[in-house]
Amino acid sequence: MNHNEHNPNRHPLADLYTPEITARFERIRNRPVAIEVNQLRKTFYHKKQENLVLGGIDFNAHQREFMCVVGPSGCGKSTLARTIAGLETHDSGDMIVAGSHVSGPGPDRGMVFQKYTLFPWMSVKKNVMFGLVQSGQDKADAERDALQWIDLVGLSKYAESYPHQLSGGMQQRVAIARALAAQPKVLLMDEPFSALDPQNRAKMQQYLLEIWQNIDITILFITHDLDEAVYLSDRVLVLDAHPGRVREILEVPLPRPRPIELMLSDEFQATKRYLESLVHPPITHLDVEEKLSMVQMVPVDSEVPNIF
Amino acid sequence: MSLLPKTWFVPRAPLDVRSRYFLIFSSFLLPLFIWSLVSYVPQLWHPKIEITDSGDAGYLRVGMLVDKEIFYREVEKKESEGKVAPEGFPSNPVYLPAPHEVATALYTAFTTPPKRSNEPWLHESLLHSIQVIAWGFFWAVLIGVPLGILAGTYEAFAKLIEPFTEFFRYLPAPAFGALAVAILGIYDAPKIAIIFIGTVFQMILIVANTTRKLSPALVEAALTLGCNGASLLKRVIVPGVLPDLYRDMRILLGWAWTYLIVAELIGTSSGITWFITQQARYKNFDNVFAAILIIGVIGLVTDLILAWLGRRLFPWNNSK
Ligand SMILES: Nc1ncnc2c1ncn2[C@@H]1O[C@H](COP(=O)(O)OP(=O)(O)OP(=O)(O)O)[C@@H](O)[C@H]1O
Ligand SMILES: [Mg+2]
Repeated sequence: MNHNEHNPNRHPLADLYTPEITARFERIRNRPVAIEVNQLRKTFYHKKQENLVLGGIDFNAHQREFMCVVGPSGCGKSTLARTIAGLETHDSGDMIVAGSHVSGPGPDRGMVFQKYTLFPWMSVKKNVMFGLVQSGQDKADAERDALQWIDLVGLSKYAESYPHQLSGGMQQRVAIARALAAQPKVLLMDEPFSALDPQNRAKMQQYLLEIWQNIDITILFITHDLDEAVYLSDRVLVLDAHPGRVREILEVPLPRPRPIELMLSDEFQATKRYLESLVHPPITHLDVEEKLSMVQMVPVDSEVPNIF
Repeated sequence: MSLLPKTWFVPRAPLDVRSRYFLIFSSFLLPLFIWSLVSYVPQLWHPKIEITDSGDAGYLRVGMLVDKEIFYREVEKKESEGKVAPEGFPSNPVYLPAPHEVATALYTAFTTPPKRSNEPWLHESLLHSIQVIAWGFFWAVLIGVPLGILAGTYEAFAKLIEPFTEFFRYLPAPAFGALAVAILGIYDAPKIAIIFIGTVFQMILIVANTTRKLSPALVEAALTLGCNGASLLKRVIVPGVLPDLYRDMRILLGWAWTYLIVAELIGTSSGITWFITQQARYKNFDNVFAAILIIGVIGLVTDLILAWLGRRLFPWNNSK
C-alpha cells in the first residue's frame, strides 16, 4: 500500500492512515506469522464437473491479528476456512499454522461454525470441557478451566443446562468458549453471528473483541457483513469469486480500542464504502436475465390499484 | 365435519388433552366394539346354530354347531314329517369366541393345569418364549449394533459390510430352520438362531443409516477439538446416535417377536407357540385368543416402558 500523496495510484483511503495507525500496522507486520497460506488451490468435483473454488490463495496473518474475510457469496470463504481447519482436502499449495504444515484437523486450529454445533447430549460445562478432556487434562482441572471460560462468556448460570435450553446467541457463546478452552493457536470463525439479530450481534462482537484482546489468539473471521468486518478487523482479506482469489488485503485505518460510536464516524463509513466497492461492484443496470418478467397482476378496479 | 374438533384435521398440530385420551381409548375400544357387535348381535353374521335340543334329529347333539342352512332344512323336514324339530340359537363359528369368553380364558388359562404333568403351565411357556426372544435379540444387538455403527461411520466398513447384509436380509429367516436344527440341535439354540438371523441383518442396515444421519457438523466440531479415531466414536458418534439407536431397538424388538412364532415351531415346539397350537388342536379358541392377546399386551407394555425409560435416559433429546 502506498500512502504517498503524489502517486497517481494512490490508495483511496490513504488519507485515513494517521502516523499512529501506520505505526501499529508496522508493529503487526513485525510479529511472527501465525497463518501462512501459499498458492492454495481447491477444486470441487460434482458429477465429473470441475469447480475451481480457490484459485491460488496467498496471505499471511500475524500472531494475535484479527483478520476478516469478505467476498461475494460463493467465492469460497467457507471453503478457505474449512481447508485451513483441515476439514477439506486441497489440490496444491500449502498452509502453515503456528509453524507446522496443515494436514488434517487438529486442536491447534479451533473453529466456530455458522450452524450451532454444541453436543446436544452434554451440558454447557461438559461441552466446554470437551477439548480439555481430549487433550488428556484430568477431570477436576478441566472442570475448573471450563467454568472459567463459561464465566468469561457470561454464562455461569447456565453451566449445567443443555444446549437446547439456550438461545442461539448463548449457544454461539458456548461454542466460542468450547473452541477457546482447547487453547488453539488460531480461531477460525465462519459467519458465527449471522443467525443473530442485530442487537445480539453487536453484543457478541463486543464480547469477541474483549476476549481476543486478553488472550493469545489469532482470529480468521468470515463474514458477509461489511460493518462487522470493518469494526472487528485489523486487516480485511477481500476475495474475488470464480475462482476465489485474493483481491486485496486492506489494513483497516481505524485506531483501537474501538468504541461502538466509531461505527458512525466518517473514517468508518469511508472504509466500509471502499470495501463495498470491492465486494459488490456498483450495479449500473440490471442484467437483462436478472430482470423478472412480471406483468401487472392486480385487477384494474382493485381497491389499491398501485403501490404509490 | 363440525361434529369433530377442528384440531383433528390440522396437519401436524398437537391435539388437546381430551381428544388425545379419547382417541387413544377409542383406538382400543373401536375394534372391541366391532368384535362385540359381531359376537352379541344375533342378526350380525352368526352363520351357525348351536343346538339346545336335538328333537328327533338323532345325529344332532346338544352343544353342536351346525350350518344354518342344514339346520333349517332339518327343521323343515322334521316338521313336515310331524316329528319334533331340533332347537337352537344362532352362533358364531368356534374360531370366533365372544369377548367375555376370551376374558374368562385370560384368567383360566393361567389357572388350568396342563393336560399332562410334564407339560408346562401357560406362564412357564410365556417365560420360555421371553427367554428365547431375549437371547436372540441380545446376540443380534451384540453383533448388529457395532457393525452398524462402523458401517455408518466409515465408508470402508460400509462397502465391506452392507452389500452382503443387503443380500442376506432378503433370505427368509425361517428357511434356515432345518439348517439351524441340524447344526444346533432341537432345543433352544436353533430358535435363538432364527430370531438372531431374522433381526441382525435388518439391524446392521438400520443402525448404519441412523449413524449416517448424525449431523456431520458435530463430527467436524469434534475433529477441530482434537478428537478423532476411536475417541471420536466413543465420545461423539455413539452418544450422538444413542437416542435414535434406542428407538431403532424398540422397533426391532417388535420384529423379533414376529420371528418368535416361526422359531418356536422348529425343533421341539415350545413356548407360547406350543401353547397356541396345542389349544387350537383341542379347539379351545378362547385360549388361543387369550394367548395372542397376552403377546400383544407384553409387546405393548415393554414398548411403553422402554419409551418412558428413553425419555429418562435422554433428557436432551426433544425429538420424542
Ligand atoms: N462440499 C462441496 N461439494 C461441492 N461443491 C462445493 C462444496 N462446498 C462448496 N462448494 C462450492 O464451492 C463454492 C464456494 O462455496 P463456499 O461455501 O466456500 O462459499 P462462501 O464464500 O462461503 O459462500 P457464502 O458467502 O454464501 O457462505 C460454491 O460454488 C459451492 O457451490
Ligand atoms: Mg460460507
